[in-house]
Amino acid sequence: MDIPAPRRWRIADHADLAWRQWDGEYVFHHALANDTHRLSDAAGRVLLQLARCGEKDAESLALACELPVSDVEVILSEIAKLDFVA
Amino acid sequence: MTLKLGDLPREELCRRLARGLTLTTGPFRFRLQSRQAGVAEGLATLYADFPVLEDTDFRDFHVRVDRVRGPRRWFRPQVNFWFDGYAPFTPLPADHAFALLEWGMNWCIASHAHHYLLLHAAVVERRERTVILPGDPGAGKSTLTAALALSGWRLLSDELTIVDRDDGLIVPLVRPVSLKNRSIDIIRAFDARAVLGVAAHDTHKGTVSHLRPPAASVARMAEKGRAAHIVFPRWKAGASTRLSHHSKADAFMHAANHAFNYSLLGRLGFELNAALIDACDCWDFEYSQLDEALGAFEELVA
Repeated sequence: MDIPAPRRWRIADHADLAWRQWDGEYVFHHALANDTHRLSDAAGRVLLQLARCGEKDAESLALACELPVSDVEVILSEIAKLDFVA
Repeated sequence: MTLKLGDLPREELCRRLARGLTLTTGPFRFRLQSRQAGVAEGLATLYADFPVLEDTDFRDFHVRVDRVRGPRRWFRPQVNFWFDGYAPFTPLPADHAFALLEWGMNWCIASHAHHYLLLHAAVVERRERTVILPGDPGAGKSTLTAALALSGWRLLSDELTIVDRDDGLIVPLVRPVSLKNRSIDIIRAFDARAVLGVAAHDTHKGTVSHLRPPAASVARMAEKGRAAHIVFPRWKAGASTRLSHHSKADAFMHAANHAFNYSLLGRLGFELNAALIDACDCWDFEYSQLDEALGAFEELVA
């Protein structure tokens, strides 16, 4: 039986993210959508980890960001709606 | 020697205004045209210290406030505002002519000066420390700004914070401070020397009157300021004066959401706004007494 490989996430093409972090809160700018979003510390760390490392699955991200995998999965699904990750 | 609007005898002011008077405010030159006595009165009272340029100089905006045609010329007369011959607003009662000119001038800048980042906030300065005052309507921003300006602070702007895209500094846009409703009497009581224009009643903002900006602020309207603080004022009856930290991320989003052209500038808007927040301490400021508020502001820039 084949076990499906875990989904790998990456920063969305053309997102060309810019960000700032102040006191545990982040703001991210998505260049293509020209949208700005304020994100929590956890969401910001997940996005930055992806921006630095390219593709990663939720478990690896959770390990790198020291967050529970379930939290990272929720974060990824939410920021995917904003077209930050794919 | 630079000619100031206050140097013009009233007849000469009216004559120039009828054919086109070029007024400088901050980085902008307006060619104002009007035959309305209320406009001449407002300019004479509130813009006396502003430089008037020769008719041949370049102007950024050509604007006119005059009576509308038709029956409204005589029956409950109305005025309108024209920008390059185009009327962006609906007409208003004739006695709102000066207020309409002020709103129209703001509109010209907010709609066209996209070579700057334009935030909706007042700006004052003391000891070379520039303080930005964003504020929701009714928060007491203009009242506080007027009191600070009357207390020796340099007024950079009451309405528009102009951020220079080249150096991130704040470009002054010294103009009369727009006071509404109770603020008018509060400022009259605060300082008997305050020069206020004729009040326009029953506007969409209630009663509106403008405060003449300090001559010293007008004289320095070419000097940019370096932002040090962003203060979100909130007047609350009976509240103690209290300054507390405001989240920088929230300050960023507030500035962006209340900017006139943040989205239009795309990534540049993000970077300019972020650099501004980087450079500033951000505060919530609750107050009920103006004298206590001024004391807190003095400490902020001590």
